Amino acid sequence: MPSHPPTRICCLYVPLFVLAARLRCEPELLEEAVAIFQGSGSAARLIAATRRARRGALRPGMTLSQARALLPELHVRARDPECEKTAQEALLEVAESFSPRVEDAREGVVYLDIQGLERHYADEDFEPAERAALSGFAPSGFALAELALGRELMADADRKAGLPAWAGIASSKLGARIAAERLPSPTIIPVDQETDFLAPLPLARLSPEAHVYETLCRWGIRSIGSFAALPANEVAGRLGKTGQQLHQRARGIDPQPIVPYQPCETFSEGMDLDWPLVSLEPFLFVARAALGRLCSRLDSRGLACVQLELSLRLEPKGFCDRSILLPAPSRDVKTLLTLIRLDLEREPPGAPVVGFTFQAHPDRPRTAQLTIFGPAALSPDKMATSLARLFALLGPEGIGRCKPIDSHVPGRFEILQFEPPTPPIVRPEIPRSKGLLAVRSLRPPIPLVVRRAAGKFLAVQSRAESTSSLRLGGRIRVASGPWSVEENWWSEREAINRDYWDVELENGGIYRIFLDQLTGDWFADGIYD
Amino acid sequence: MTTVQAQHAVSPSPEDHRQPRHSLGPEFQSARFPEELLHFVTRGTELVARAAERPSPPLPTAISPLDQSLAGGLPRGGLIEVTGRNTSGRFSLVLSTLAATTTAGDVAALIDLGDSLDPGNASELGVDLDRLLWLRPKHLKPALIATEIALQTGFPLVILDLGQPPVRGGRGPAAAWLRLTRAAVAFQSVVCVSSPYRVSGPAAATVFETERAESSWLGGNRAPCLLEAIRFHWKLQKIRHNSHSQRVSFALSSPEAFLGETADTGFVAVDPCVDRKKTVETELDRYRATQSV
Repeated sequence: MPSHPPTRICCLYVPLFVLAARLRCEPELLEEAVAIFQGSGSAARLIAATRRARRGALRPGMTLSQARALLPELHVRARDPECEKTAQEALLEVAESFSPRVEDAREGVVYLDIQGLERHYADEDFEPAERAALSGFAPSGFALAELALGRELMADADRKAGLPAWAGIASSKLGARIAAERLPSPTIIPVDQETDFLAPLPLARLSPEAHVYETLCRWGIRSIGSFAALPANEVAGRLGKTGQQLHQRARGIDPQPIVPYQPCETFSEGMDLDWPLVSLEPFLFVARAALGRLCSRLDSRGLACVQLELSLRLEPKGFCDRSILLPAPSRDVKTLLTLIRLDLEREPPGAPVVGFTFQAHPDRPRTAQLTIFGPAALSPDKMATSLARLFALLGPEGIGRCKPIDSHVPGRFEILQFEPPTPPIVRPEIPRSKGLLAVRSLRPPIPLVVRRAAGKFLAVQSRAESTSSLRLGGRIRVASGPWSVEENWWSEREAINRDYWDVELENGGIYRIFLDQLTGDWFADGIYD
Repeated sequence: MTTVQAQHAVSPSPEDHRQPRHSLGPEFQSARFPEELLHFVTRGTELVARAAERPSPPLPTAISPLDQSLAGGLPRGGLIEVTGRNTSGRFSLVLSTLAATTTAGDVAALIDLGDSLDPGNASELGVDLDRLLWLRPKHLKPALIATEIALQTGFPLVILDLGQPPVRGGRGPAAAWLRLTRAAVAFQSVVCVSSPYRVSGPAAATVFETERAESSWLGGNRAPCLLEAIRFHWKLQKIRHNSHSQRVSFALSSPEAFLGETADTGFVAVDPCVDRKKTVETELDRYRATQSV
């Protein structure tokens, strides 16, 4: 009977996660003395600090005034749930790029099922020098593949998520978690050595419930090994189901398998600001960094942003939510930032901003099959970026593909998204020109004064109240018409009844003018050009 | 001996009109390589270099007299400026070029500062609107930025139409026009500026001036009439590396007067334009009959 391969679990663990998440949002503080406090006012207590701050004798549980007294140059930050949430999401995304089975254990801990992944990191792939270097981290005789996998996970967490993660690999989640907290990282616990690895550890590492822990202490059990040595049925009989599961964990058996993480459909980045921002430029400065992280995460998943939602937390209370729809999926930070700038300039939030969250709705970037013999197609990715930049420059009304609306009234159209069809496989013959005159539209139509006598057109002149910069006027040489157009006669608001004329002026220019029968006013709405 | 034969094969003879192979490496000069195939062998880098040296084909305007005077169409890799006042045929050239480019399967961008495009009319003239990116800036500065973005995206044809005088935003900075020229050279695109007067200065490689010569009306005087066609003069004022000017003249028909050639050109006139010529001709016949009586 074939034996099943042993389950292998990798744990990614971010030490001082609260601090790491904050420094991910403010990377300029990496080399500074930074402390994270939880609580407000005199109840605020230090929960994490950078190495430089810890060298200054800062310890967890200190108050803010104590910390300031010890280290005057200390950068103090409040605990930011938004930063932690997005950092955890980024860590999960890194794990998902390695394994499809990932469990979210919160607070900077992620479990991956890496069973079978070692085949991608076969021992034979290592050069002798690399093999020798890796052997220093692993127990003797152990396959180097898992070690290489752990190192790559740590490197990706640092590069893609901006988090200094440690890795541990074992056959159970408990073993992997404890291994991940040890240095040098990654720490690998071979399949047959897990019980030996756990045995000398104190019982508290199993995180038992208080009453179970007290009972075991009364029995004189202090280490995981001594607890694992007890007979399983006796433990279950005395401590119940809780004790039974704890005993399994002590023996390196996971009572609960990995609970797969369901990835969310949107990507979010944001942070709480330490002081309210009242002007746009400082906000855009912090927003740029958040958008950079967001686009980097989208990039690592091969996605792009098609809709960006911005939620601003205002002082003293309240929210300001807005949504920006992009003309094509994009992950260009500059473009997204420009769109946000324009949106905020057009409609300011009206109160100081104390926090923000960007939420990106992802979509697949555009792809296209290019041809060898046909016309050169534009790169879809480049096109998407350019369209987003043009969208930011000209606004939603200023860009797109036009489609005429079926109507008797000339010049009617609607704007659609620009999605050019695939170019033909072979370049077609260019048809002969139709040799037709084009009409240059005048938008809005220019109001006119038209002089007529006995049905004959004499002269035309722009009205003084016309807002158009184009002034037209002069004696009419030829007039052709009327060409009547009537639409929506059944609706008072949308009814159109016009008589169109083509007129040639003596001083040059052939115009299309019309008489609005409903108001009796004359307008010019086109030039033959 | 074999090596000597290979060297003979590599060195071109005076009567050999095929490509020289002096830059082929020693791996091609081996006797194992068939001698008759050596004429067809070249390095990939040389192919790329030759492709870069080969001028890209011009973009036709589909207006035959103009294409003939420009040796095939608008030259790529440069800024072309078309100037002309009202009813000078400037916008007809723009739409005709867009029609020729988009029906060939290429995409094009129209930066329409004057908001002058009538999509229905453009479709009538043959523009494939699905392949046309229409940009409507409100001022010259964003128009220039949009033109540069479109060029950098790789659009083979980018047309900047500045509308009617006065142009919103003046003539624009000279540096902006030079940037457009450089972008057009880099991407081997055509950037065509349609303006009521000269704006691009020395940055333009080719400059046309268009003007109306005469208009032709069907009927007229006191009789019903219809705009039939307009004849334009287009003067080639400047073309780089060629100082002499040329003058081209031709006529364009009014869409309303365009009938009878549907089978030839594939033109499908839309209601009510189809009826205009029929109406005018009927009215004219009636008018002439009245006059003769």
